[in-house]
Amino acid sequence: MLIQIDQIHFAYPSGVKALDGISLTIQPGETVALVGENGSGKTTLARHLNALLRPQSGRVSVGDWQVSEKSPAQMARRVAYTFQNPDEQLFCQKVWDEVAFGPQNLGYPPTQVQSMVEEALKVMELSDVSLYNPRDLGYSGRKRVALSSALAMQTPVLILDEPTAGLDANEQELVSQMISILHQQGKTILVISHDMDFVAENLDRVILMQQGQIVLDAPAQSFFSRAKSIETYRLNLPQITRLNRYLGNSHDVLNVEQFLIALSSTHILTNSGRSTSGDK
Amino acid sequence: MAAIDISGLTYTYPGSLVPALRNISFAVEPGQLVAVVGANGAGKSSLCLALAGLIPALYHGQIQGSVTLNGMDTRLHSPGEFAGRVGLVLQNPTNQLSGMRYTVYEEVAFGLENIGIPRQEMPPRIEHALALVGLTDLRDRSPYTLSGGQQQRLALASILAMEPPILILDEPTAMLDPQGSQNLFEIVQKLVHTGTTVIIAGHQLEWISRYADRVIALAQGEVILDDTPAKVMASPLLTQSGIGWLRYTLAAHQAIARGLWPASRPLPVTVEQAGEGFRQTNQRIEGQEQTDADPD
Amino acid sequence: MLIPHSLYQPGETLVHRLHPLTKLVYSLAAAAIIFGGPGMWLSAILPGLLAILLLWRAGLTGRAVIMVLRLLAPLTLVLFLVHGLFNPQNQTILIQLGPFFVGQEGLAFAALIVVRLIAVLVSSLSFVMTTHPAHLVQALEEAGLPRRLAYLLGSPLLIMPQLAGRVQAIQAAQQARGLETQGNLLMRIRALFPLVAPFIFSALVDVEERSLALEVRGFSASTPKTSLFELPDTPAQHTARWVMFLLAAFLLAAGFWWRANGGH
Repeated sequence: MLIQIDQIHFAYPSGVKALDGISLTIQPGETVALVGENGSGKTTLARHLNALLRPQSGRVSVGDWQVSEKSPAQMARRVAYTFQNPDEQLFCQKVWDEVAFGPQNLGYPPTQVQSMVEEALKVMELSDVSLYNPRDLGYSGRKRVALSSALAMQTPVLILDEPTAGLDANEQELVSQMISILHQQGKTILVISHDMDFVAENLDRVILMQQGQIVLDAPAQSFFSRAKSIETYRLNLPQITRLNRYLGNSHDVLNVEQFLIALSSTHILTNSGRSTSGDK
Repeated sequence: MAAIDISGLTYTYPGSLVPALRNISFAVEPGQLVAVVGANGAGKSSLCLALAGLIPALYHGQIQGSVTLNGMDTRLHSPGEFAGRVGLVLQNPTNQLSGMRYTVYEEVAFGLENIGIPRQEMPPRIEHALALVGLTDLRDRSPYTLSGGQQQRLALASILAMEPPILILDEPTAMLDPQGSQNLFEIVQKLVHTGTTVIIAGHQLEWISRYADRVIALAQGEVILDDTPAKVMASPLLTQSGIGWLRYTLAAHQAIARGLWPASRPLPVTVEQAGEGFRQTNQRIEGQEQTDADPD
Repeated sequence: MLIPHSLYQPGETLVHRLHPLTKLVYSLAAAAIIFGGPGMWLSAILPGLLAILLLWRAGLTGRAVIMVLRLLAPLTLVLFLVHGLFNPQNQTILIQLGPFFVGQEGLAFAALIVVRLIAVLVSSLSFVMTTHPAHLVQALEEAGLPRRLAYLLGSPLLIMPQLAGRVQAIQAAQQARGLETQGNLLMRIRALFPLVAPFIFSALVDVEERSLALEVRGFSASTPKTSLFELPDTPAQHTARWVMFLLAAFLLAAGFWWRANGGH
């Protein structure tokens, strides 16, 4: 679903100008990262997509819907949004009920809700604890429940706010898989994150914000190759990017696999076709 | 005398069937920087609470074994007695504000008042603590108007003013952005240099690999590794237990099979180690190619 | 969210420097006299004037007037309307409105209530606006109130902004899952439930974390407490507090007697 943001301006009641003339187009099926330091406007921008916030000027549309004409509850049909703190939304006694809340609100019939919930639980590996009280799961378990709830709504667009914060390596892998599955299904995904390794490895496009403006918007590959200028915006670089720079390589790599492939092919190239003794 | 001495600690929360900590034993010398890593649920937070004297005194439950902090056995003292002797900084910056003070300056004084520091000694301690964390310019602001990173530094300053020789930090940067995390870690390093014993629990593997003197890895309440970062951060147990490796380590490990990293070379845990290793491999391969390329 | 952290306005005037307990006793005594003293109007007006004098001395009349207007204006209107039209004691007709009339007795009655409310409000404001909540808590502790009780009294004022932000966040999260919060009354009531439980749960998590943080900062340490600020108290104020207490008790009794003997 196409997302179109047209010259929006937004200031909080306290006077702080959070969005200063933002224009942006997100194509259906894109996976986008929104990065920048706290206070740069990332969360403010994301909240304009599901009508939680309304711009003082400019327009936002999701597909053929003008967001200004809809309530947040109506926008939930097209845009699912997971917040950073799972404890600010959990209220059911059972994981199952919690995950079913979204689909039920959207008016799906019970049999369909059932399959939507089951699928979502499976992706986040919560099937075994579906009857548990979410409070009895640790923080990361509760976070997975929150992600599941958004997943179950099966919306064309998903916004995830710091989905990997507080998760360990295995749990982050689940989120990776979730994004991968959603991408295969053609969903549009927007992720707000400070974890640059996660961003580099999972998302196609990176938008950097600062003080209410977009300062850099590029495919992940070329985004991280602008390492020097990124550092002035106080972002951590992904580990692989830093390793690459250390070695003085000019090509862009986003993950371990690409790094190794690039490394192997360098050797093949320098050997002008002959296999080296160490090669396989 | 060791600053921290844990011997055979096994602890079960009240109402729980499974121990949160199992047979934990280690000692920490004064001035060391020890990192505790583990998957979520492995026991990092419980260990931090035990190291701050709050388990078992506050939580009760069943305990075996002992935790001794600079000679004080935590089973024999109330939490109040550890104030000023052990400091604890938690994840959520706003929840560590006392809620009873109007300014940053007064907030730092709160702990000093509780432990009975004489009034005339308070200002120098407060100034010193604020300077350490870089909040001197914000001393008259309300704590509730600070950013998350600033509030976390305030929580730290409030503890530091009490001058505890041991400082425990439980995922202190979990809710901070990269700049906030960076600031906090720099302060922690300064403290270690001045002789504070610091235990820090969390997922910040890169910083840990670079700066910790020692890393303790937990899995299901037990210590599975206790050694230098070089040894622990490259151990296969880390990936098995869900803690994960740094990408550098992963790259080198997968490179072995492709002949791009010598199997005999230790796996890297920092970008420099990885860079040097890959660079030497390049040279070695190119060197070999040169030799192979020479006629006759 | 623009919730004031409390009503306290920092300052260095004489009123500000009075000991918190002096001001507390004063406002309680004033309230007792206003509602229970002899001679209806006098008991309300005199303390009210005293409070206005204190506020003026503290440089806060402007702000106090705004507060009084904001809090009492709507109520005043309602009181005058209701009692003017429907008070059973109405006999003297002032204004005729068809079958209804506005009676002098009703208006007088409403006026008395309003004057009392204003008097009590300005007496409280003269205390609250000049007293730092943490100083009040300190004064209560020094007077012997248990630590935890004193903390309960002092902390909500500063924590409120955090709670307000929490409510907004929860509402946003549930709306984003399709919860309809507009609509008829029944819908709105149903929409409350998914808001209450997360609020309580996250508040409990907060409470637990906060009590850990307090413990670590020695909240329950048994060493004798010191304080950063000295709360200057004088024998004169100490005496004054007793005098005010006794005066209030005396006037309450006098008021009782006065009413029992037909005063109104």
